Amino acid sequence: MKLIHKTTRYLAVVTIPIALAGAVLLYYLIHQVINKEIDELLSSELKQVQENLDRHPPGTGGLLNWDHNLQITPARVADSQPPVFTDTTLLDPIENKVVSVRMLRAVYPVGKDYYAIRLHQPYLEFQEIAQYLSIGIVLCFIALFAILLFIGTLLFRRVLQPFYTIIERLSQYRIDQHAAITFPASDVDEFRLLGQSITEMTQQAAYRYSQQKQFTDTTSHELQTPLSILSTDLDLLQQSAGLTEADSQRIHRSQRTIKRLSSMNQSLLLLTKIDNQQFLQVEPVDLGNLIGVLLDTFSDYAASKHMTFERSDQQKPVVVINRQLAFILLSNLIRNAIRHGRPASSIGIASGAHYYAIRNQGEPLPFPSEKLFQRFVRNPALPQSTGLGLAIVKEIADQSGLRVDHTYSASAGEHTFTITFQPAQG
Amino acid sequence: MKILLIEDEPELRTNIQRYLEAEHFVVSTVNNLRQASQKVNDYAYDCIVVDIMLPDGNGLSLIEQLKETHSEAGIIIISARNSLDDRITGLDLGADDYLIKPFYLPELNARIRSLMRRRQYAGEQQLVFGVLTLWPKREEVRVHSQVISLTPKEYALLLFMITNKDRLLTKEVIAEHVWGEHMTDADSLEFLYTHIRNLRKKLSGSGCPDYIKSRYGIGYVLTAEP
Repeated sequence: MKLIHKTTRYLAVVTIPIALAGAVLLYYLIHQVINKEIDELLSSELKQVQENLDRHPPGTGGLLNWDHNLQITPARVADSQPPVFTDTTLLDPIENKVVSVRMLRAVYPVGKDYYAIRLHQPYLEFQEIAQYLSIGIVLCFIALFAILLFIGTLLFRRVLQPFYTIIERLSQYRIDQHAAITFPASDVDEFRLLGQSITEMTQQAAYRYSQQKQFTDTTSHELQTPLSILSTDLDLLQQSAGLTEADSQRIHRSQRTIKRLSSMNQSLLLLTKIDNQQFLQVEPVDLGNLIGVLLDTFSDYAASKHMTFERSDQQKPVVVINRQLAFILLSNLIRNAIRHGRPASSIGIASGAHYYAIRNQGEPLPFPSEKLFQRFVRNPALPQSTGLGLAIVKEIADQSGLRVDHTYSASAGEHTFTITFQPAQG
Repeated sequence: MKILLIEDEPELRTNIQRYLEAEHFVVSTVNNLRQASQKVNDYAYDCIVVDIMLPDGNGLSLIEQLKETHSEAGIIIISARNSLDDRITGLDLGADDYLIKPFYLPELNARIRSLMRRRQYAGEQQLVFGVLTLWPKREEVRVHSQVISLTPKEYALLLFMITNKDRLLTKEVIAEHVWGEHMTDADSLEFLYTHIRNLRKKLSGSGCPDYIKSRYGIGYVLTAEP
């Protein structure tokens, strides 16, 4: 919900009950005033009638009813009472329809005779006036509300312009690009402060980012260089004449160990880089295509274990992801499947619109399954394993908005890794 | 063939120099960018092996300088940084190859040889070893004058071993060269054995002596000696 809609909604929630109550109250007040006026009118007419009765006392024979709004009838003393106002309906003899009227009844003594006087006044015009007034007021209110809304929106847009600019710039900002974030100057203190705070924050984040990046580069250099010296030393040593078989094998073992150290170091640095979001460049990647390339690469390795690949991934989903990371993710999973798969079994690759699944037959995990994606958790039977491959898979999945799950079916003796994702649009 | 090696780490520099000199290259060494810049200005080299992280700057700037002066030298970057950005930048600037430390010396040798073949002789140079002749541009192998057909992997194996003849090549070194770096931590290098066996079978089937010798289960040596 946009800020403007939220504000308008609140405004409406507050104003509509007030407006409704106001309209009802107004209608009631108008009615009261009209009643009061009619009552005054009737009272003054009564006074006139009484004066007329005093001036021209009617004979018992003829009571003149001057108009149809006035009725004078002889009354008994017992009926004597103070003037009473009532609302009632009468048949209008002229228009021949029932109309609501205000009626005043009084008993008036003339000499020793008493007369009951009944006066009535139709509401007709007064009611119409009240109606028109009410409608007018409601219309005015609606118009006022609409104008308020319109002006409010315009003002809102204008006043919040810097705010929207800030949001837009922020959404375009990428920490791995060197351009610093800047905001337009604003004369509103809040926006100026917001812009300043964000600029400071992003500057700090960018500084930390570059520090971290430099750290991984330096660490890489500092660790790989001594390993290189060791490695070349051993390369030279291995070519020396007069080595015994045991010597050669010791040298070979040292070389393998150096390689393992180096690949562990590379893997840890890769984890740090992923953590530090150094792979922000994303693009639509056809996973099926990538898997095809990888299966080709690993075909000799799989063939040496007499393993075959069974592809049933008719759906070839495209995922928006960093290409390098996608490559590492899938290559780790496939290599994992070959490495831990039972020789002469098959590796299944299946896909749907939202997932990719890689399964291999093999022994159950030698450690609790919740530890599978943790760092340095590995099968002790495989000394060359760094125990980082699946940790990297998990890290890549987390950073790329994918989910990776592992299930083991004891009956089939089958491990399945499933990657779930949102397919790319279009 | 003259090589300039730019590397600031003394032990590493000495080791690379010793290995390459044993491979009959003429190797000059410097340990910083300033000296390197002067050297490439004063002398012509066939190949320049340059470290990226140097005490007085980035090795990439040397590549820029070489390209500005239209140098004909082949350029191989050696770097401790396994960064795709560096690799792309380096190759974009005009480097011919990129090796990540730690690397095997036979691998560096193979890269330099391959680069030299591509550059100087337009790929037409033939490699001769005993009764074997390789035509790298056509990926053709002859025993005496008879062409034998090899798979691309077998060809790559043979070329790599001839390039590093008379040297013990461990299974890891060969696997990394032929199958790529991501294969080196494969738990078993059995697949290598299969390919070597097939290669030997094809060679001996054409009357070629068995040059490929297994050594202690560690690796192989290609040698004409018995």
